[in-house]
Amino acid sequence: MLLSLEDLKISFRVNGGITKEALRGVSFSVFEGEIYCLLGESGSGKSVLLKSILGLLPPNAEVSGRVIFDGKNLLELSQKELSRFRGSRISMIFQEPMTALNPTMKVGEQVAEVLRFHFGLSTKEAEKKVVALLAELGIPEPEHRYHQYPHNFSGGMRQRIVIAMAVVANPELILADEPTTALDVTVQSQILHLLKVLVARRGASMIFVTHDFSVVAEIGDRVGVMYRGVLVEEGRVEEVLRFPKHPYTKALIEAIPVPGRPLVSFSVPKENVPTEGCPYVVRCPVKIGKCFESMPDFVYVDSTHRVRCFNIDNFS
Amino acid sequence: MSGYGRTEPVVSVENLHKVYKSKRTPFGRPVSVKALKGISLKVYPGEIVGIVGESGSGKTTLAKIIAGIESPTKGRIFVKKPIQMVFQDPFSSLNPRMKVKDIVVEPVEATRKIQKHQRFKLATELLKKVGLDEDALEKYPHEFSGGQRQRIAIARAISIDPQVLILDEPTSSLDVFVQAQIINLLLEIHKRTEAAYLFITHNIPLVINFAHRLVVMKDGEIVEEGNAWETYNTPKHPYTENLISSVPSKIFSLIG
Repeated sequence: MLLSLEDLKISFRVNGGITKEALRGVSFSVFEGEIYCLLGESGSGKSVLLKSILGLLPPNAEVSGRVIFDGKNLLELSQKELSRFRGSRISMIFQEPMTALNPTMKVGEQVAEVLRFHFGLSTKEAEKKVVALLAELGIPEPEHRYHQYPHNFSGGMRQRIVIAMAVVANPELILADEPTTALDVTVQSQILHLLKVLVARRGASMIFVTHDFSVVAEIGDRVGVMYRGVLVEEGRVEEVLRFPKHPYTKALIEAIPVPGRPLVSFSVPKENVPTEGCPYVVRCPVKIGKCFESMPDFVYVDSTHRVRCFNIDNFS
Repeated sequence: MSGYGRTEPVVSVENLHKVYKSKRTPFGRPVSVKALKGISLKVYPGEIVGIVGESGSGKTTLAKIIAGIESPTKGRIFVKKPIQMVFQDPFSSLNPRMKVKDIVVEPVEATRKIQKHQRFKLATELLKKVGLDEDALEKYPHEFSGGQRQRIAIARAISIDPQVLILDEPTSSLDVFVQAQIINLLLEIHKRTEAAYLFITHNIPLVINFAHRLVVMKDGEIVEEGNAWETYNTPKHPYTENLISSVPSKIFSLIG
């Protein structure tokens, strides 16, 4: 086990002393060499979760629980201690490549900076390594492109540079926050393939955050489905897609546009989340009395497939 | 397509060109970008045409010219009015200082004068058609979610019973559930009004389920055009083939 989250709770203090809950106690593990997809709509807490691993949350966040990586609880480390992990052992790929890159710095140098900071490589040594990596990432004329600026690159090429920064130090864990959402479909398909190959070649693990189930099917080994700060279902991607157990997962899958299948409309109420019970209770078609009172514990469908639902027997 | 061949088109553009020129900068000559390079397209009454292509292919430029928001550099254009457009981003397409009751009747008031009591009745009816309650009338756009705002934008667009409705990625900023709702609303309106839809999108699996015809654009040109379902299953142009094979499709075999 490479990373394990234990009862991670995050809330934000907002104006007037109110706190907003973003994560309501999330626990899961990521194993060596796997791509774990975190799937959820906007507001599900998936991005917040990712940021908390690297200590990138804003100061008004209150965090409890544990994030164990290599025997250490990352939540207890100081920013200084964390900076030794960031980029070298755990790295992050952001959604918007234009804002993740420094517009005034040559792209090659931005990638090389990681090597110089963490391993103290000389400029020459770092450049050599980075050029080789750019070539591996399918960037043509890497020696020449090394010295260009982000604005000289297309969206897809820029995202390759961001990926280069994330993998150059051979981290054990890569955190990817919707890395293909801003890209066209042909570029998305190339980047997904590239990420899969890179992770496999290096034996690294990846947490891949997305709102798109079709992307999960392409890249993921396992998937965790999040709804309003709660992990409601988890399992191998194929298993969850074929046999979803949670009513939310099932609805999500039915809402995916599939050629030759009419779209199903679901009602989306705007009611607030009940603080005690299941977060899905307002929308749930199979809710029972106790769903309002307490959060269901995980029920194991098999050794890898688990669901937070009181009523999966009446739902198939 | 043959079924539409006998009637007169509601949109007909011929050899449409659009060149965008940048202003002369201190550093060099003005740059010109050819956004459209000779587009010809006909849309027939009641037809749903899906226009797909990647960013920079000219889809939105074409839509804006057909809607009359921009003028072409060259080419002939005929559009049967009224024509309306629904934009991608419902957060910037609605005037934040106007109440919903004023937003939805604005296109009507631009064409004719209406009495105060008729105005209220019309606004209420329009909201009902898009599944919004009467209590939305006195509210401002910021009080609504993205999906609800898109409903307001649709209510405004259908207020003058358009012959042609241009939908420029109307669901791409919405979550999947809301997307399904908005699409089903648009299809329900289509059934009732028989307006022609120009549906611009990059979501091919979505659009081929309801589009009669698919138009594939690349670099300002139409590279392929045909029956939506046939084009999806047997693309002829290599670019269309590449585009369709890039759609993440593993999921279809798992959940189909």
